[in-house]
Amino acid sequence: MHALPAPPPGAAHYSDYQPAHPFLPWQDGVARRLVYKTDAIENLGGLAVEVRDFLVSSMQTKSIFALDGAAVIEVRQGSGEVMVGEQKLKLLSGTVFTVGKGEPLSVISHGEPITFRAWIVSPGGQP
Amino acid sequence: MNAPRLRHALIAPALMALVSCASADWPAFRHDALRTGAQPKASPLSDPVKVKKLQVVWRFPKEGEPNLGEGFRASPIVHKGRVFIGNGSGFFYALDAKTGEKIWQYPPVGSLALDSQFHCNPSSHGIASSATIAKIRGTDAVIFAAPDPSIGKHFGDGRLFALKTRTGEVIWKSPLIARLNGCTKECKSEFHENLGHSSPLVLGDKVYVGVGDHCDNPIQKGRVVAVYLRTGLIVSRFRYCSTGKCNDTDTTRGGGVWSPPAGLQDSVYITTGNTQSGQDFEPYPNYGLSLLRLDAATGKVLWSFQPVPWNLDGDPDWAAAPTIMSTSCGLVVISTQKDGWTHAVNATDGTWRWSFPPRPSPPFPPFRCGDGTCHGDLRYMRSGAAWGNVYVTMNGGADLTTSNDGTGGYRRLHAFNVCEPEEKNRLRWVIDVPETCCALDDQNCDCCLSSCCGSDCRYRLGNPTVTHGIFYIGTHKGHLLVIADPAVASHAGLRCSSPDVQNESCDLMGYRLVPQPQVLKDIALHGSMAYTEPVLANGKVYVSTDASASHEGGYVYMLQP
Repeated sequence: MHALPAPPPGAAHYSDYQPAHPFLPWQDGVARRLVYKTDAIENLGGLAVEVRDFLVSSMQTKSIFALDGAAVIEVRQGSGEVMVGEQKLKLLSGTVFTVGKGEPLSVISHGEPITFRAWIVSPGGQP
Repeated sequence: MNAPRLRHALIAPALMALVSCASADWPAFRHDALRTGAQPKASPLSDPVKVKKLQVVWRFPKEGEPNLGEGFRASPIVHKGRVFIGNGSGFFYALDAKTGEKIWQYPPVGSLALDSQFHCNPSSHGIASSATIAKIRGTDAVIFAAPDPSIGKHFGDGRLFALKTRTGEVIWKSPLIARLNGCTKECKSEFHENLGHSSPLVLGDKVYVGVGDHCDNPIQKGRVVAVYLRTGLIVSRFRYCSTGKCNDTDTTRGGGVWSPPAGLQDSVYITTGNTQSGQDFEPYPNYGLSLLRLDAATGKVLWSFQPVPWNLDGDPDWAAAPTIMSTSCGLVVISTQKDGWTHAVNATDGTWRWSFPPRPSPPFPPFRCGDGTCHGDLRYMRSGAAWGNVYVTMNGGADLTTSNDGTGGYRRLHAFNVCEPEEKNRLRWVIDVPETCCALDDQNCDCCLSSCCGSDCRYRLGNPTVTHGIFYIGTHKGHLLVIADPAVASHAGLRCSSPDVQNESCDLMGYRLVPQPQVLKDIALHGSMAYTEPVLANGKVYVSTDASASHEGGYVYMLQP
């Protein structure tokens, strides 16, 4: 049995499937979802931690965005490269890197969408 | 013609002979020695219009009769007008395939049941092994694995039984195969071996069965044992152990063979369980967590494929049967590991072809520490179904890597284009099977917070089967669903290949829209079908249900359009 033919462009008839916890469009070529969020943690000087998943489209040559807090980021799926400030990093599944608050992230995908999880630390009540 | 293609050309006729038995019976678990889960004979079950009239014809035990205790975790087989199946209470039955009337049972009423004293997971209650049909000295025989409390220390050592299909009379009982000489949990001085779900494989003049354990309590040395079809005596020349050496002085453990072996010509294919549980050092050799090809005469390992190495072993037992597929791109062996990853390798030499979800960054295989993947004790334990170049299975999908929540795929069937060279086109279709519990973390659904999941939310889908592009699958909520490949009947719309991306933004994010196949029929029965397969024989569907989840199952049904 051969592969099924691709649907004709513009003729998509969607199924009733809806993701329980979808990525939602955020910025151009980037979608995100909230995984977990703490209140301000007293022992951490009132900082709060937010865990978010990000999805960077492979349909754009480059996606540029910034996070509202300092973050530790782990690549979950896909490959490409990222510029964090002046630093260029190769992205592979399992790659971990850090980024400062508001520091621009410039992500280039190598042909497939990239997903990553960010642990974002910010003053309580934000971002 | 290159060497692999030539080999395939030589093997293909033998392979077709194995699959295409003369009748439209279902003589073994997954239908045949290749474990395809496929009925090649066309019937009303392969007609997308006629199958909508599917309805229950009979049930065993009948309405008003008490059920038989533990229910069925083995699947039925069908041969020459009879259905054969063992239940969790330790009795084996022959039923009339037309009426569901009991013809005989073994052991007879009032006799000691074939049960062990070590009850823990679903495979350790009574007869969990689906049977297989063979011809022994000119007589039709049914062979199954079961614990036997009448031998050894009477805890229920495992052995094979061969009975006459006509009368239930014993042809032979094998010597003790799986040793159970105590029930002290975590005790390493006792043997806690188990034949469990491992359905016997008949190949040539031998019968093969896998040896696992009772709930890793503690893990045992995985083995495959062969007996002569004619006598039931153990073939001493055949020796396979998953770790260390095949003797009792070797204390290495692991690599339990929980699944039914598959076979083709001179080879036996198996999958194996974990090795790290309760063991400080990696044994040598370590064939745990592997897909292997063995020499059917000697048990020698011809090749092994181990995607999850010792240092990442979080108990992702490989418990689904291997499926041998004759495809347009050659002979391929495919199976899904308990961690939710499906792997396809070349049957002849074991070289890797593809994995799904798509492999992490190369080099792969194996998975590597720090590659972003997790390999734990999930519940992807069901065998897949093969139809031409299409393989359908439970699979963890993108959830495994994107969110590290591996449970989303427990209710999801994926169909793969086995020979597709482009990774992005591998996925053929995907469906969240209705009448199953939703994901454990789904806040929008209160289903899992209620009793609808039964006692164990982790087991939601049984083993899919197929006939001419129409797939059959049972759920833990007692529903039998009939699903049509989009090449056979129109699909129910497109959905995103990533389960976490909305259909409307799928293209934009770089994913593919794939069909969601149409559900042709949904029939509510009683009891869970999470361990069993719908058997497609002679235009009828035979299913067995477990009693433990809903406390109202434990039946064999026959349905017909």
